[in-house]
Order: sequence, then C-alpha cells, then structure tokens
Amino acid sequence: MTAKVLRDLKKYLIVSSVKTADIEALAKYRPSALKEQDEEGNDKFGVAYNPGHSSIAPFGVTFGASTAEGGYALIVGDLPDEEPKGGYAGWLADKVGGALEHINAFEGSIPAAAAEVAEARNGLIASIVIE
Amino acid sequence: MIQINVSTNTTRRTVNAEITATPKQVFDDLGINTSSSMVNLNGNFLYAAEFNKPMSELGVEDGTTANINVVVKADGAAE
Repeated sequence: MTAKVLRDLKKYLIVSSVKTADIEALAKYRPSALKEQDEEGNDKFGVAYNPGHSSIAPFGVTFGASTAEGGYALIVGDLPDEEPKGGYAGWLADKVGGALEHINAFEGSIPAAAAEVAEARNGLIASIVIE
Repeated sequence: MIQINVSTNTTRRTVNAEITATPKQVFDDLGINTSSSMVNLNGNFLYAAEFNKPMSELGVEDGTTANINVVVKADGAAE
C-alpha cells in the first residue's frame, strides 16, 4: 500500500497492491475472505470496492476507484482545508493508522483467495454443457 | 464503509456495510423479520418506506458507526 498527498488538489490517494477485480470476485464468490469476524460472527474489519464511495475507518476500508494501469484499488479522499499542525503526512498517518495492520493482512490474503476462486470458476465453466 | 450495531429483542450483532446499503439489505443479511416491529436508526424512527433508502440518505455518514434497534411490538392489553 502506498499513500500520496496532492496538496494543490487538496486530495490524498491510497493505492493498494490488491486489484479491484479481485475484490469484486471475492465479494461475489467468497465474501468471507473480505472480512475479519470475532467468535460470535460480529464484523471487526472489512474490505470492499464501491465505485465513487471511498472511505477508511478503524473497522474497514472501501476502495472507491482503481488505477488506470493495472486496476489496483484506490482510495481518493479530501484533505482538510488548512494544513494541520503535524502536517498533511501526520494527519494522513493518523487517519490510516487504525486500519493499516488489517489492510496489510488483507493485501497478503486477497490475491491468493481470488486466484482460488478464479480456478474454481474456470473449472465450473469448463464443466457446463451447452447444447 | 459504515459499521452498524443491530439490536433486536433477542440478539445483538455488529456488521459492516457500504454507505449505499439499505436497512432492508442489512435486515435480510441478518435474517431479521421487521414485520410487527418498530425500527429506529440512531434514535430516529424509521418508516417502512425508508427501509429501501441507502444509509447515506438516512443521515448516516460514511466511515462512522450507526445503531439500529428493532423492537417487536407486543400486544399491550392484558385479559
């Protein structure tokens, strides 16, 4: 995951190493791979792709866009109007910090899970008889 | 993404949902029957017609936590 502050545009970008196509595939075929739950089934953290609705919070992240090259999941957010005391980098670190550990874990697990789903889907497609 | 604490007469669950999700989608995912129930979102009564509105149109901000209470309406008259 990389983060970038665009001061002139008053925007910040967070680019994941995960592709939005992988998130969409898991949302459809294996949604459990996009969430952490406790023993009682309560959601603790989630990852989602919802075009136009980026958000990041301690309980989850929604990627609202994808990069033109590679289709990597992207969060586009607004910077505060005035630069905070600790600078924009410090502000963004505080905003992302609560979710960072979870995001790193999902960036490790999502590609493999998406590859399994793709293989299973291809196997199912190959088995379908069209008359 | 929003976090929703859903409470009914018998259960309490915490679920994550998109800001574009509707209360009905949340109830369906959790298997909650809202017929004969009063529902309130963050303390505001929700009419049945609002169950199909996205959370963003019901006063919930993206990245925040919301509370939904589903209370079964019981017959009050004792015989």
